[in-house]
Amino acid sequence: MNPTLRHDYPSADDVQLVGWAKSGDADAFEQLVHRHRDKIYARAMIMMRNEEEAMDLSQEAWVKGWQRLHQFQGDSSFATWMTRIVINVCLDELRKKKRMRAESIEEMDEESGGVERQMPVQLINPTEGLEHTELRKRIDEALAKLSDAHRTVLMLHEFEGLEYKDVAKRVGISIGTVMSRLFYARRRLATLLQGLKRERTQ
Amino acid sequence: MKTNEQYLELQAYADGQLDQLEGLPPGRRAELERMMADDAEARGLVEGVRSLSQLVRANEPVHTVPASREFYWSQIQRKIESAERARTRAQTPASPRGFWLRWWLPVLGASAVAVTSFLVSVGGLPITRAFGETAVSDRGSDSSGAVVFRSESEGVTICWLD
Repeated sequence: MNPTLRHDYPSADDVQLVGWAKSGDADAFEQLVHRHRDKIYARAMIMMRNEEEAMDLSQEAWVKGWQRLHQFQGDSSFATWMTRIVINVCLDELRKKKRMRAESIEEMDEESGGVERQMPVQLINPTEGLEHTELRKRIDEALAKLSDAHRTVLMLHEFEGLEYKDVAKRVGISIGTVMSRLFYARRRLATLLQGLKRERTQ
Repeated sequence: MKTNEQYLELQAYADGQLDQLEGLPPGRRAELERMMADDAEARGLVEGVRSLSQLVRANEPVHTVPASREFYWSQIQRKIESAERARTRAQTPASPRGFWLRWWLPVLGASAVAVTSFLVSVGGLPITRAFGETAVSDRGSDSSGAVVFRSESEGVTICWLD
């Protein structure tokens, strides 16, 4: 990491910063880290549900970002590119720790084709009237109660906007498994949020 | 009550992913739409999936790094430098001394352990100190730098080399 010429980093846009960072300017890269660190950390935190792991893996993602910067062609935004890296780092970690398996008998049952025995997704505006911040917090708490396997599929589809086939490719499962995990995750989430509605009306 | 397949297809319909499903019979979309028109449960499922999706997407949880800018960056910087050092080491051809240490030292160490163990087992090295069933010989440490630990009950001999 050889420091080069100093630029006006805070007022430079991401494209300029990436250009400088590609030529070895660590200060430009630091500015990119500073700009996007919360987003990258949040992805890791949503996936891992552990502060220490999220810190470590988000930093690992930044290290990979620095090392692979020459591969970044600007087809997507820098933040999107970095988000993809942190998700892959977290997926690798979850696979390494075998946390991507369906964990309970209920989940295995659901994955082998038992969603018809589950209650369908129901949601009748359970969070109406909640402050935006409070709502985010409640959704986060509900997400934390899902298994890693279910939360990952839900996150990739809802937050990353990936289609079923892309979720399947990223996680290494079939489209059918994506669909049943997504169904189960939604059903559970809806149940947890319904619980929130009951809690608020009491 | 619907089948597993119907629930999942209704979900895919709600997500706009129906066309991605391989082997979907022609006219399935029209069938699902008919089902939704006639069946409140099917309609409710599609509406439920859509409203939940909308709710979750609009309220993505926010987490902020629990460390200062300087601290977070200093850790990344250290990891980058350490990764670069490791890469440089891996690319640098090993010096003769490094090669010797990496390949021959473990071989010599293992041979020494094997020889010492053999000597102990045939009585070549005396057992000088005993702790119950275990015994230690440190005579070797004066001459060859070897310390031998033997457990008669376990039938195990361990040898340390200085």
